[in-house]
Amino acid sequence: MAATPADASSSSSEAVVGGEKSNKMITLISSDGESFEATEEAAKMSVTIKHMIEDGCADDGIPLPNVPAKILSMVIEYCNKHAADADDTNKHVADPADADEDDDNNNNNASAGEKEDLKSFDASLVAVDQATLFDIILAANFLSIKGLLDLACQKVADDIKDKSVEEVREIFKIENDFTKEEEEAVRKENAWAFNE
Amino acid sequence: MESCSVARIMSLGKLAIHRTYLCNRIFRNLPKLLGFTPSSLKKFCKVEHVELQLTKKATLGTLPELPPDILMGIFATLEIPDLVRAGSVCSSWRSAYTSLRNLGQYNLQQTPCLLYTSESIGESVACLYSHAEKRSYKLTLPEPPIRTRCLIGSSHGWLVTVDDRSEMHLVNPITCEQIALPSVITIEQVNPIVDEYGALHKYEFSWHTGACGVYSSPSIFALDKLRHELHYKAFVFPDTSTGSYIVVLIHNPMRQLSFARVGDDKWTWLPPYDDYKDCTYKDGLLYAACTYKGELHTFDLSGPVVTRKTIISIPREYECEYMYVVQAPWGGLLLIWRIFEDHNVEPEPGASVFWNTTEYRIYEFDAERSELKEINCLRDHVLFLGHNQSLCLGAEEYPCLRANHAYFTDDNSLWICGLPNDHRDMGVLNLDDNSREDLVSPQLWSNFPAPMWITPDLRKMNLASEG
Repeated sequence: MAATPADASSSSSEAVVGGEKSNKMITLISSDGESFEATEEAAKMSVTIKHMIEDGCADDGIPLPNVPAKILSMVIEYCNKHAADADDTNKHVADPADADEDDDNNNNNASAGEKEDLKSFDASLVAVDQATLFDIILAANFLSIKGLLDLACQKVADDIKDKSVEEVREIFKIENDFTKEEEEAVRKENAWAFNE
Repeated sequence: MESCSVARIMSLGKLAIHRTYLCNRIFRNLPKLLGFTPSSLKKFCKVEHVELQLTKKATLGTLPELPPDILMGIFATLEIPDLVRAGSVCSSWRSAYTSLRNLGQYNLQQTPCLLYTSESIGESVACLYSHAEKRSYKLTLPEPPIRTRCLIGSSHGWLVTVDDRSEMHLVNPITCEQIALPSVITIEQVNPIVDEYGALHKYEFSWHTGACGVYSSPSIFALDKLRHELHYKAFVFPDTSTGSYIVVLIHNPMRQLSFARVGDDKWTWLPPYDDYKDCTYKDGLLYAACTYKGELHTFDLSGPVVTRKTIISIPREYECEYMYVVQAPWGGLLLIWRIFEDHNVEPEPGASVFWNTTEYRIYEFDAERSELKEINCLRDHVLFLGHNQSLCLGAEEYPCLRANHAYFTDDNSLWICGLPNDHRDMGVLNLDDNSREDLVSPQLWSNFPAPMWITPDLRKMNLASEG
């Protein structure tokens, strides 16, 4: 394999955290041609990207023709936040022998606080209009980021709950494409769920 | 410089999967691309449905379509009413709903609902009150009218009922599937009495049990009166070895056990013990609590001969009238006693009788030491007790329920059938301080048949046809 011109990002320091992870930067290119940088660690939250990195295909940057810039930046934000959290958990686990009880309590409080922090970050990430939410789902699916996919799907489920069929159609801008006969059959099958 | 073809192929491959998504986007923007306005485009479009699609999609601004497996993932978390409505939104959502249902991948951990009837709503209508939505649904059930039946059990979405001929059925209120169980005359103690035309017109009820003893002579009951004496509580368990279901009945005299597989033509009696209070099914075994003997029995119903084992002695001091056997989500087995406040067992004529539950005493069966260990608090868990199959649920999966509480209904057989117009002993009990609240206020239900918990289920029995 011919040596590629050194990409400034890929030759950044191999600074090591906890002796395992590198801080190599990966370039991700959105469908509309914008470039985004992410740490290898964050990028690897996408199983799709992880395989491409491991297969040595990531050196020139990874084109993602399905993911527009607006969505890609949100995805990267999610990955950065959650990769950092996973790392912190590893750090805490690495020192179980820290005998001082105060320290332990502090660690627990810190991780409880961090959990809350992460929860509210997640909640605000998916507090978007339905079109953006669907785009996030499609991107997370394409990139195989399970945590983000589950998060966004749960938001859709929450938006469906306790709503009538007409309300759901309005919120998600879905056209009723049943024929008259189909609609009647559907309504009849579970008539009890529709009486308001 | 070697470009990375693998990456390109991979991303193109993913493109193919999402062609629907891309087609939608292109389609949506077609009028703009062609420089037409929707109205001028109409003039050129001869095919009506294409014309409608172009104008509708351009004006409605529909969202990108989610692939079926993602839709299924979203629907898999929903409670049944929401799920059914989601499946009625449009054809792609319906398709995902149907697949999910056929594969049995919808959420099996539905929140239990209160099933009740009301005189004002209709003789064949059962209502389901949902804690999650704080509303009731009305379901029309098959004949005979539900308000003429006794409800003696509820498991896995099936109601066990006894009609006014003292015959039992399974009914699933959500799917409206109804299955007849073996005739009551195949129960050991029951014999039919026919009139001069050969038609069944009464039942003879024998008072014997499996134990040796002297019994009163048999009694005669009218067809609709036998059920007030005979039937106590019933359970439906999936029989993994055959793929069918087993129904277990605790019946009088003296709360004995009989069972039948769905599709059998008769009940099988399980002597010699009696005074069973409750049952559960775990790892292919029937667990039954027998308080007179003070034992927990297990039955293996899978072989041609039923085998029984005693796994624990229940100390006499725990003996109490109402007791439940519950499987805990962590794999343990709980024995729960229902404590009532003092009441007048023989009230003055005309006085109403109120049984009030004041406490639940909970013990866990310790398999290693073969003893019962008292539990004072069910942190993070919720109990559902009554005539239904006793449930202990993890509160985290049911955010609308209150942890460390017992949701209970009235299963006192004496009063339910004997005093059908009386107020029912039901509510929510805080296991910490034994404070008690109403389930729903004001009272929505009629007192007979007594309301009961049911966990909605979309499953169908799909009985294999014989011969």
